[in-house]
Parts: sequence; C-alpha cells; structure tokens
Amino acid sequence: MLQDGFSRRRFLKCSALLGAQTTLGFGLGRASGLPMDLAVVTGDSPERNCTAAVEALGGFSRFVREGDRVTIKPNPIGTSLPEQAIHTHPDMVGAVVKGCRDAGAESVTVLSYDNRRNMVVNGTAAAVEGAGGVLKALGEREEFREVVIPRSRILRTEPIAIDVLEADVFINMPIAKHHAGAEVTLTMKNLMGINWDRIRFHRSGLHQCIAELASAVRHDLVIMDANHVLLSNGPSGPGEVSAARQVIAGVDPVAVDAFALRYFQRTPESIDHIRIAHQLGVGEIDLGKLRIREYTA
Amino acid sequence: MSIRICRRFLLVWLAIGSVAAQAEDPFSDATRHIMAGDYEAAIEVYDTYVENAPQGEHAALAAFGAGSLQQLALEDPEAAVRSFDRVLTGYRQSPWAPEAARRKAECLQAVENWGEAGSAYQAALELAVAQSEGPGADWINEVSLAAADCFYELGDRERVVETYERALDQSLPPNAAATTHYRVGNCYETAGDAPNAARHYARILTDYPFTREFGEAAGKRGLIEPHQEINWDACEAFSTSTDLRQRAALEESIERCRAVMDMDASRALKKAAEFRIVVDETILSGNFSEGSRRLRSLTRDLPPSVRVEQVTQRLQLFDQVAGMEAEVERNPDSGPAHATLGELYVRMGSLDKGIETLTRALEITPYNISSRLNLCFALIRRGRVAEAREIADRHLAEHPEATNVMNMMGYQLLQQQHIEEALNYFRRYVEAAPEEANAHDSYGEGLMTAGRLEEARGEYQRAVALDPTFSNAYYMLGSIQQQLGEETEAREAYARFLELTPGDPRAPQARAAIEELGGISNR
Repeated sequence: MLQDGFSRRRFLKCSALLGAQTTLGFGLGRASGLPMDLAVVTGDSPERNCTAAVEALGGFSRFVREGDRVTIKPNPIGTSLPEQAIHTHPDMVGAVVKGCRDAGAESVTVLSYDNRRNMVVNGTAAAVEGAGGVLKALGEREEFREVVIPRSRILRTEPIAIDVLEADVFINMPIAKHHAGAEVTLTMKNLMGINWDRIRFHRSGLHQCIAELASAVRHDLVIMDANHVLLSNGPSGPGEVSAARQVIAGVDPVAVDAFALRYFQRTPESIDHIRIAHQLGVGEIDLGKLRIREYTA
Repeated sequence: MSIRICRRFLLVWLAIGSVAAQAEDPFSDATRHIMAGDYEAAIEVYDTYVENAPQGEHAALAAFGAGSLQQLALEDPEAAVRSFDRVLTGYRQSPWAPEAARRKAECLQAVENWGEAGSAYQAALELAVAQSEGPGADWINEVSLAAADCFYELGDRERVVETYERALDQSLPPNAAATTHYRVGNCYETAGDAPNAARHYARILTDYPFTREFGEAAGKRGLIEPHQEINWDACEAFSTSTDLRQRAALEESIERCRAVMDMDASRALKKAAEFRIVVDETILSGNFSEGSRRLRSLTRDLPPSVRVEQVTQRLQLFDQVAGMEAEVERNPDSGPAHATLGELYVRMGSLDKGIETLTRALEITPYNISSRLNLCFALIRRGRVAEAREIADRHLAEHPEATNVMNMMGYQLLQQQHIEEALNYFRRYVEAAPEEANAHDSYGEGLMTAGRLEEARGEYQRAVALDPTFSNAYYMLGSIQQQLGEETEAREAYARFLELTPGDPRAPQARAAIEELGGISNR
C-alpha cells in the first residue's frame, strides 16, 4: 500500500516496481487518510487563513517532500488591489511558496499567462520571489505538451504546461470570482491558463471544456482565496465585492468549487462545469457527503 | 507553520460535514500516468476498473476512456473499436454510448472501412436521439454529415440521402432537423430531383420558422412553388418581421405577425408569429411580469418544432428582468443592480429603457466596463453613433490595450451598416494587436462588407499565416478568392476550412462551392 503524501514522481517510480498492483487504482491518492475533505478558515489575515487551512489538512509536509518540484497556479491577472478581488492575494501565494520551501521543495514555480509587469504591479512577483519561488509567465508553444484527454467529448487532446505535467506537486490557488462566460471562476476555471489554447474553449462549449480539462489534471492541493469575493462584473472587475474573509483548502477541485458557490448563492448543480466534472468522476459535488470543517483564525 | 502555532488560530472549530469518506476521482492514477506520458499504464487503470467493477458508477466511462486513449494516443484503431464496442454492448443506455459509437466510426473511417464507419455513425445518431438528454444539435449535425461523407466515399449517393432521411425519422431538436432538411433538400436539388428537394425545403417553411434555414428555404420559391403548396404571403410577412426586429422596428414587426395570424398559414408559423407578438408587446410596454405570464401560457401550447432554445431563453430573460426590476426598486442606489438590469433591457431590445438604466448605472459606478460597452451598443442600435463613439473613445484613451472593445465596437457598427466607422475600430484593433489573427479576421470582414475585396483577402491571408487553424478565415478567404476569380486558391481555402471544421454549418456551402469550382471533394 502506498502512503499519503506520495509525489507524482515518486508515484511513477514505485508504479514501475509495483507492476500490476498500481493498476488497481484504489486508495493511492493523497486524499486518503486526510483528516477532512475541506478545511475552511475565517479571519482577517489572508496569509494566516491560508496557512491555517493547510495546517488543518496536515500541513505542507503532508503534500511536499524533500526534493520535490512544486508548481503553483494562482489567478494572478490584473494590476488592481487585492481588495478588488481580481487576483489571488499575493500574501497567500507567498505563504504557500514559503510553506513548500520549508517542507523541502527543491523548486517552487508559480505560473501565469498574464505578463510579468502586471504581477510586479499587483505584488505577486515580490511575494513569490521573496519567499524563494520562481515566477514564470507562460507564452511559448514549446512550454506545453499535447496530452490526450480520455474523459472528453470535445477536447480529445490539449496542450498542457510542462511545468504542471512534470511537477511532483501541483497546487491550484484560485480566487473566487464572478465570470461573465463561465458564471464563476473557481478552481477548475482557473486551470484555463495551464493550457495553450484558451480561445478554443470559448468557441467550443466553455463549461464542457473546463470540466474535461479538470479531468486531465491531478490536483495535489487546492487553496482557494475567498478573503474577498468578486460577485459581479468578473473576471476583470471592478465589481461588487463581498469580504468573506475565508480560505478553503482541499484536494478535490469539484468539492472546493461546490462549497465556494455559497458566496454566489448558487447550488453546485446549477453551474454546468461543476456538474459535468462530477459526472466525469473528477470529484464530489454533494456537500452532504463531505467532511467539511470550519475554523476561525 | 507548526501545529502549535496553528492551534492559536484555530479558535473556533465547527464540523458541519458528515463523516463519509471522500469520493476520490477513481481515475486519478490514470491521470498521473497520462501526465507522465505513459498511456499504456493509464489504459490498464481504465480496463482494470471495468473488470473489477463492471456495474460501477463509472464503468461505461472507464471503457470509453480506454478506447479514447487507444484511438488518440496509441493510434490503434482495432483495439479502440474493441473498447468502444464494450461500451456499446455493455452500457448502451449510458450517456457515453453515442460518443463511443461515433469514435468507433472514426476508427473505421481511419482504416477506410467506409461502409461500417457509415453504419456506426448511423448507430451513434440513433443512440443520441433515444436519450432524453443526448448530445446537442451541433453534435447531431456533425455526425450525420460524417455518416453521409462515408457513403459519399463509397459512391453511394442513395445512402447519403437515406442517412439524412433516417435522421429525420427521429425526433431531432428543431435546429438540427431544419439543417438536415436543408441538406437533404440540397442533395436532391443537386441530383436534379426538384419534387423531393421542394418537399424538404417546404417542410422548413411550414414547421421550423425560428431556424436560420427558414430564410434560406424562403429563397427557393422558384423551385418549391411548382411542387408544394405554401402560403408565400405568410412566409414573406414572417421573414420581414425578422428583418424589422433586427432594426428594432417592433411596432411594424407586430403588424406583420398579426397579418400572419390572419392568414391560412401552418400552425407552427402562426404560433411563432403569436410568440413574437407577445415578446415585442412586452418590450414596448415594459411590463415584464405580465409578459412572463403570457409567454409561459403560450409556450405550453407551442408545437415541438417551434420550441427552439431561444424560446426558453426568452422566457428566462423575462423572468430575470422582472426579478431585477424588483431588485432595483429595493436598492435604488445599487450600481451593479442597475448595470444588470440595463444589460438585460438591451439584450431584450428594449433600447430606450436600457440606455436610461445604464446611464444611471454609470452615474453610480462610472468605471464599470460592461455598462459602458452595453450603453455604446444600445446607442449604436438607436442610431446615436456619435455618443457611442465618444464613450468608447474615452474608454480606449484610459485603456489603450482594450482591443476587445475595438473589436466589439467594430462589429456593432458593422451590424448597423455604419461601415466606415466600423472599419475605423477594426483598423485600430489591427494596429494595437498586429500579431493577433482575430484582428486581421475582423478587419477583413469589415473590408469585405465594404466591397474592398483585395484588401480583405490580404487581411485574411495574414490571419491564417498567424493562426493556420483559424477555420473561419479560410472560409472567408475561399469566398473572396472565388469572387475574385482565383479558383485554385479558393478551392484550397474551402478544402482547408472543411478539413479543420467539417461540422461547421457552412460546410454544405463550402462543398457546393468546391464542386462549382470544379473540385472533386466531399470534405
């Protein structure tokens, strides 16, 4: 039996040794053995909310091991203030980079498809680099590798960032926002940016494509910024903002997104890409089946 | 952060969930293998799932996933066909069955087994229409077109027609049915069988008034009239109402629709006219609660062929407007509420109310980009172009990188026939984003509308050079080059368009153009 906290690289090494056993496909994920499915922390400090949520799940060392290569995908767009809820709070991103480095990560790369200039202005660059991470703005086709997506009707194949494919640990750090096209942008919508052709998604059926992409990426950890939630005029704002003062952490992107819909007063089934992702087996949509624990920091 | 420090923050602890274990993605190990490029190991995970849990919740998906990897990653059509067959025999009622049949057909097509491929596509169509929430109209169009392509390859024109006719025996969604009628009509027309062609075109005119093909079929009067009895006055009045509504001339549109209701027209056409009357009267009166009630009552009585997606959307919009009006009344100083209501008014075509509400929204929140744009669009549609330009240009002065604003302004102006103003925005888009294929595509469309074909050709050529997969640019290029008499280039452009997007609604026109240009191609 493999242990919790197994990195992707170590998993693959052991898969070769274990042979047929690895094909059983049961009980090998990081989620098994976690003390809960979702940790929700409320408080005034985004950084403290973030670290407390990860600690509740067992701490960074549960997810990151010595020598791991970690890739983080925040939602880093724009040059606005964190209180406008357009991009993941830089203090949270910095805290996660630091947490990973302290747990022994060999490298921590923070990805974006937005340009570096914006990330300098919005504070993400200083937070990442100050904590020992590397900021990488994706822009070249060579930085992506075509991957077949077996659970798909539309995408079939999609070029995905090599930094995500080859990471030992992939951490998705979305911010909860309204989105004019997808209704909301949460964990799964935030994956748009690790793929090459975002325009294709808009042309071909946005919700189905988001769910299919989510089925092709293994999340090791999701940490959602809901300190401030953009309720209208998303994704670029400015719009109505709710100061929810929360951070949600888990490993199941569907569960995290389903929970976050409380800020928008929507049910999980009412958002197509969340419902479809659940049908694709990506994760749990029924909050009643999840172990959710809420804390105050 | 240590556990001890963390505890300081965990002051209140509240468990609201159950103790049930998390339902982890059963294929997460397969995903890990795929991310590492080890597709064979991933297939094994999927196969093992089916073997261990043949009645499991995701067994059909697992069998499909294995087939999909065999088809697309290993390029092993035989193995893929076996996996897809497993879905089709073991899980025929699964939502994955129609797509499995389609993929099986693609595998057979890849080895040029045209007959079996065509049959598999037909099976996919039958499975799709048998499902209550099956694939949509686009999927059905693509698959029926692919089935017909296979029989065309066999040289079996009869089966091409038969495929379409069989598809029509099923209860297709209205848009898919109208497209299929149009295609089969086109097949008969090409073969010189005017009576059968007229039969299918006439069916569109009697049953599918809310589809794009209605206008196309109305243009075939010369062919239809000797063979089918159609009330042409009613068709013409309904088509005119469509044009009038696009120009926001709602009173005149209502007049035409009332005329349709007084004529001896088909039930579907009369109901469609009645539907339009209710919608337009509501927009004019601004009483959306009453409009919502009237539409709901009318919708219950609509024939299925008239119940297109737009009908449901219209009903939902009415409900939303009524809800937002109440919200604005409760919160008269809310910028977002005014912005949303204003946008809804504009979408409904209630332009004056939209302009008024959006102006108020911008007084409360002047920086709201959506409100600015919606106000611009409403002003353009009301003919107040100078005011719209002033707002858009002020926005662009503040945000010179907002190329989407340039593009959207260009298209709004183009739709209202303000061609020079539209070209001005498209030109600015190209100057701001010369490396964006879409900028050249948009500017090309503007130039084409202005009749400046050679310049338009240049822009589309730049678009495809920047993005060789930009199928729309190839279609437009084909059309321009055909008009310029550049036959070989036009044929190549159409062929590339078909290769990239064989299921595009314009595919039949592209095929017809290729044939007209002397090409022998069915793709």
